Amino acid sequence: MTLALVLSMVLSQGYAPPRQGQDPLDVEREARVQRVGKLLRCAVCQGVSIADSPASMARAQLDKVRELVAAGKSDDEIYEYFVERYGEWALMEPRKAGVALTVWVAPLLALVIGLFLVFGTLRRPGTPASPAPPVDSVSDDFLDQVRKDLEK
Amino acid sequence: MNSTLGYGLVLLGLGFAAFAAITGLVTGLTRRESALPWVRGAVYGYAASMLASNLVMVAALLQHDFSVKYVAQVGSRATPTIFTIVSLWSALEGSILFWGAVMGGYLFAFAFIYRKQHGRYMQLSLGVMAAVATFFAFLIAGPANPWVHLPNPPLDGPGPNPLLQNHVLMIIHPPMLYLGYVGMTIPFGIAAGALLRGELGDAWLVPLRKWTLVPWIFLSIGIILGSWWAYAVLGWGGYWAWDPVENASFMPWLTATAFMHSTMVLEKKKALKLWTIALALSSFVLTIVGTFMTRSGVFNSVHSFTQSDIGPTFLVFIAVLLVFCVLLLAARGPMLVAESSLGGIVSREGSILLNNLVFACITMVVLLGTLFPLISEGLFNEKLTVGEPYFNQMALPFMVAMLFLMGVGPMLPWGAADAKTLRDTALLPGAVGVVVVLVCLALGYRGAMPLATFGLAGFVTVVTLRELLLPARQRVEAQKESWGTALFVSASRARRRFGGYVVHLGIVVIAVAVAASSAYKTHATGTLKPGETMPVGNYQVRFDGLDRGREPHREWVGAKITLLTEDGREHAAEGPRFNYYERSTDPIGSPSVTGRFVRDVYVSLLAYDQATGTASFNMWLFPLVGAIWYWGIFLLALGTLIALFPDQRKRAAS
Repeated sequence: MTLALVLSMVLSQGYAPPRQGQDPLDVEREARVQRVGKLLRCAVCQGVSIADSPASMARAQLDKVRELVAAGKSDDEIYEYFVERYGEWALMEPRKAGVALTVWVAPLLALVIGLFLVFGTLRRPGTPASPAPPVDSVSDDFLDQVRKDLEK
Repeated sequence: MNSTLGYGLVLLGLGFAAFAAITGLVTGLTRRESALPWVRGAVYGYAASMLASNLVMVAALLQHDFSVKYVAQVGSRATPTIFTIVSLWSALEGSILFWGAVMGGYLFAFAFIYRKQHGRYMQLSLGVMAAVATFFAFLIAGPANPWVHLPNPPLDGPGPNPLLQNHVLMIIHPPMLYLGYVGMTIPFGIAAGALLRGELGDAWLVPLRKWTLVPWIFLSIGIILGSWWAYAVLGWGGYWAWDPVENASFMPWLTATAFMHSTMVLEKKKALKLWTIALALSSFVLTIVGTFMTRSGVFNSVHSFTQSDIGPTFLVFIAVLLVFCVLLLAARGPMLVAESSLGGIVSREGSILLNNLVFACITMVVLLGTLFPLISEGLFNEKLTVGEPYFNQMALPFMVAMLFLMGVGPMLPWGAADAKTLRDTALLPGAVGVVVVLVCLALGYRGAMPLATFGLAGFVTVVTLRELLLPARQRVEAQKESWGTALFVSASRARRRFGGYVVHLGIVVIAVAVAASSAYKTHATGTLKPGETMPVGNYQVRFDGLDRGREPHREWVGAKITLLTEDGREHAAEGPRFNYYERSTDPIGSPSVTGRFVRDVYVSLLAYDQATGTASFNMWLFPLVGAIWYWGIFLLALGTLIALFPDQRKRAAS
């Protein structure tokens, strides 16, 4: 239904979103509209949220959010409303549950494994330095080079 | 005529590349070094054929020769000449043809510059690079052939993609990215050549590092220009959306940057070999994965992917590359064992290892987040989105950690740090960092992330400037030189380090600008009648009515606007517009961006109504955002040029 509305508006004179784009709510509630809108995906765009997309479809969807906020719905109820209509796909970030948990956990797991590897590669404090090239702790080839140049 | 000539040149290039690959690899592995001139000659031949084929395509575009399929697809008599030339890379087939020319340029430069050096590695390395070139020449000749001859050519074409015609940045952004993507073939060839040869001498590490830096800077500039373009054209008030296309270019940048750091440990300590070489190989593999992601249409839908010709070809190539890299690393494992042990965590090498870990984690976040919707839909039949909020939450803490390491690393000595010296060196930068945070708090700025970024930026800046100026100060004091001379001489004595620190300053500027512009932006939205004003921050924007006009390739409807500052003064501003192209039904917006001192006033048109003369706007104030493109590009490019500048001593010797 919304789509038909959008199409009819596009084909008419000018370029206007359906229902003329509602006027923003008061500052506090409008901030909530924008915040919630950031987390909902525009149905016709490529991975842009409805708060960011200039597409007419996104304007209409953001107006829907405004309507729901004005009706006193909670954030979760608004997300639910969109998930019911468009599926899990409508959420800009996947829930921290089910298969999608992977994207949240895997990088942290990689970090932990990586830390073990890093500390395994490095010398533990207390063990003596390698006998091979003796490392002068204050050696600095950049400054050495400067000194060498100065001695010329 | 053009089709036959252009296609013939592609086939010739394919022949040269295949010959160079086979000859280089076979004679290299059997160590018959007399064949090197043949390999080099074939590489030159490939470069010349590809360049010629591209020139024929440009000529065909300029002649509006619609019997060539690609010209019929993107050309149009109404398109301005400059965009006609640029449309060479405005669609898939043309951009892959252009890719071939860039590849030719790189291979030619590499083969020519080292024509008298590094003979032991050259055959194998050129062979590997030529093998990659063969793959792309095959793509151009087969699945993505732009030269198909149309027996019944149309009288006119639709013109290039309107999004590409909408801004002049689109002329330089794609070539920069291609120079970055394609250039990663060179370090890949250098590393793979060394592995195939079974030797990794110190001398061969220098080209490996320098030839990673070349595509790295192009990739950096390409990414920044791309974000600038998104900001100036797309009108949603942002510059980075963690879109698959952006992520594709970001991943090889991350691994190449990690490589640039770990190679210091490799060169200095003869350790971390396997990891460093793996980074060089994976930067290249990620450019191919990125090209696959952006070019196969896989992200529009899993289903359109199977219909595209190049998607499956790319998948096969990626699989071959992965197997090749893993086998090569496994077979040459003994060659990649560390020759010395590293110091503790509080040392230069410790900080570089952590830096590499953080870069690896960010790469993992980006790769997983980008590919997961495909995995989840393909394997679990569950369509979901992994978008901007996910990437911001997961990647930003790592980036703040990176900023911290950028300050700590340069302060620490190799090997082991002495606690007292460390306290002394950390005192001043640390204090400056704390002062910056306190000043920001006093000025009323809040938010953990931006304040942490500003504080760390202060810390890193002091460390970096001290490292840059200290050697010069020694000269000034000891030699009574002027500061200018001292700075120049000390910089030219250690260009790699000096350039690296200039790049660090560029990254600090970008970090501050990104944090400020995303945390402290002001947004306003609403519908105005002519003559009405709308406040955005401490500015007022007055709507002066609608306007319309016609250009050769488009029509536009715009809003006339005037900017009013707090003191009541008026500033003319170019109005935001909708551009209508013949080829697209939806208009393409052009926001109006007015730089005011350190902030941008950004106005984009959302809708208009001719009958009532009203218009709806989205308006933002973005503090500091311009620094990303102006200072970011300048400092990164300057630092890289300093680091890459040819060695004078070596030039004098040769």
